[in-house]
Amino acid sequence: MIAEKNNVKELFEQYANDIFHYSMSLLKDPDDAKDAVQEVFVKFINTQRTFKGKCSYKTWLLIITRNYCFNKLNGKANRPIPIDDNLLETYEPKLDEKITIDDAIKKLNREEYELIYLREYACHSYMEMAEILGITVDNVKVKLFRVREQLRKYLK
Amino acid sequence: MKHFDYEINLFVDGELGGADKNKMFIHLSECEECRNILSDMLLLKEKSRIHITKNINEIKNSPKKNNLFYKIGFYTSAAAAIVLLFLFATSKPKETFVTKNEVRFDTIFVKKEILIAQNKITPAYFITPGKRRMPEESSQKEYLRYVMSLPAEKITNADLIQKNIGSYQ
Repeated sequence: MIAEKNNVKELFEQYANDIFHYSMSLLKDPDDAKDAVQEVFVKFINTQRTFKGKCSYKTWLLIITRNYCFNKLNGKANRPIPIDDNLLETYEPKLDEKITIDDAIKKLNREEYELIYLREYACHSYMEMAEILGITVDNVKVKLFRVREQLRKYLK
Repeated sequence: MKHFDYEINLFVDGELGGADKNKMFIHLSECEECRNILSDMLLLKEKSRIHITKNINEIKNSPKKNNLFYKIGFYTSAAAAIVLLFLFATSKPKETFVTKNEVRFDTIFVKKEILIAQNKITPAYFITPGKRRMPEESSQKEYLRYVMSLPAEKITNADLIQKNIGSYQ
């Protein structure tokens, strides 16, 4: 029991900031993100014994974070949002309209934004991203490639 | 010629294997389009990182709900809403609706029917709400005399004014 407590304390010190930033990127609210950190660790303590060690603690905590945040955002955690393939074909930029990276990223849907966040900001490997998002590594590669292509074409 | 955009995407993330990396480099030396893609991808990666960092900091520094100004604003609006609700609940409508037995002072309409029975007349001020001024003694007598001379039928204020006796008010 004491070992478990120490474990939680260490994990909190190590990953609370990552969880906070990840939940903030999804919930877009600092107070909600703080609540999320608390809730995630409560859930972690309650389910710690069921952890089988298939992934790292960090990944597991981020999976809990993701589920919590998506549940808070109308329970869409297990519903992947498809990337709109037609978007590039239908998108016609105006000649006088200068699109910045800010505009282009704002046009991304939640899952696309999450991919970019996990890769560029949180610097997760493809394997970790696959575990957090609940998809395969190949799927991560393809999705990330499509999102980047989309952003690149917006900016052209 | 096959372009290596997918491999370039993996390369910028450091996820491209050795053999594939060599193939990609050989291709890059020959293909200008792929070199442009590589520079775009690197630029995009950096810009995305900067944008997300900026965005996260903006969210972090956004006004909090437990901020003093937020609280002041919230409680002021709540108090204003309560006061407005109270005023709305207690105020009377400006226009008063007159029932058939009431008299309005702003017009000359009065109750039309005056009971005449056993020489007892219901004076107008009895049925006039609010203003309860007794008429002068002389004008009262004059008024009674006139009323007694009339046949027992409806008497209107207009009749009294026409006869230059006065009015109920």
